[in-house]
Amino acid sequence: MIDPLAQTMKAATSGMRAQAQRLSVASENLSNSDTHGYKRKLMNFTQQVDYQSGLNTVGIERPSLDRSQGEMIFDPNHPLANEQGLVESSNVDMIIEMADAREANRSFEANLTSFKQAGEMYRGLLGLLRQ
Amino acid sequence: MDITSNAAALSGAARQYSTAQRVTAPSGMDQPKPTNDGGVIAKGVESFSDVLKSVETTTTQYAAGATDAQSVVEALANAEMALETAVTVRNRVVEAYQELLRMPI
Amino acid sequence: MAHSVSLLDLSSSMARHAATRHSLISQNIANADTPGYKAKDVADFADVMKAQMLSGPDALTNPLESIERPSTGSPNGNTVSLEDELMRGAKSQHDHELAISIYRSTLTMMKTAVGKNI
Repeated sequence: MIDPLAQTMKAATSGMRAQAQRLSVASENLSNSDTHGYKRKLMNFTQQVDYQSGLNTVGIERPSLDRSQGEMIFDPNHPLANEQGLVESSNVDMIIEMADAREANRSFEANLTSFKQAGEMYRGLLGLLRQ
Repeated sequence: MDITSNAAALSGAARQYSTAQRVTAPSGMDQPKPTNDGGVIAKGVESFSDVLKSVETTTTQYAAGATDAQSVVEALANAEMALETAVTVRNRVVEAYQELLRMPI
Repeated sequence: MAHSVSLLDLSSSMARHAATRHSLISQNIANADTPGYKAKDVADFADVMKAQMLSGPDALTNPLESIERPSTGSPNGNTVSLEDELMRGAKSQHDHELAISIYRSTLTMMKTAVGKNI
């Protein structure tokens, strides 16, 4: 019989780690929103199943790149300008990244709540032995 | 004195308690009724060493990751309960014996 | 004493059921953004008890088996609703607390009956 409380803590910590990485990727994109030709990074979440205990944690694969083209800006004096005088800006949309960051924060808090609840349940169990 | 020898001593005390109960029962009562508390308590005391063994087993299983924390807590609480019962039985047997000694012949 | 013991068994099963459910909820929360992940749960304790009463104790092979909760998913196939899971998580924690309290009270009553703390 596997210990459900220990499993809860493992799942919650994997979730927190994944959401922290997601926040890091979002802030990286945000800080490079003015970098010409920058391609934004995308998070890839995967479900990781431990076949012995049936525990579903979440894992992170290497971030992939969003290869869509950024907006072309007319700036003939820029060293990277092409024949028409257009420079490719980054494909980062600040609003999307900030919304993603907010979501990551919310999901992180949810995982943290799970973790704290498991801790309290465990303490309740141990309270059975206390007088 | 370690726990297992204590447990054996308590089991012996419980057996004497049930014997004394049968002997001192007023005439007209052949056997203690099945719902008599003494029988259940005696059974609980006799299996006290079993209870201790189950605590050991459960704790070892938990250390190996084969059972959950709740089973360990339950086994410990059960052992505590069994110990309480056994100690109470021992105290009552000692009291009864002392009372017996005080009886005028 | 027989009644007290079956009460211990009942509250112990309730506590285990609540802990298992809470564990699946935390796994759902962790995988709230995983594409294609389906939200998991266990059967309600009341349903498990009813099934056992109707057809004997060996009816359900594993009452704590995880089942999938039917719900429509988001475009990437994920069926986890974070608010839903948080609410159920809080309820599971309370169920667990209740079961443990019942267990503790039963033990205290039994100890009093045996003569401790008199």
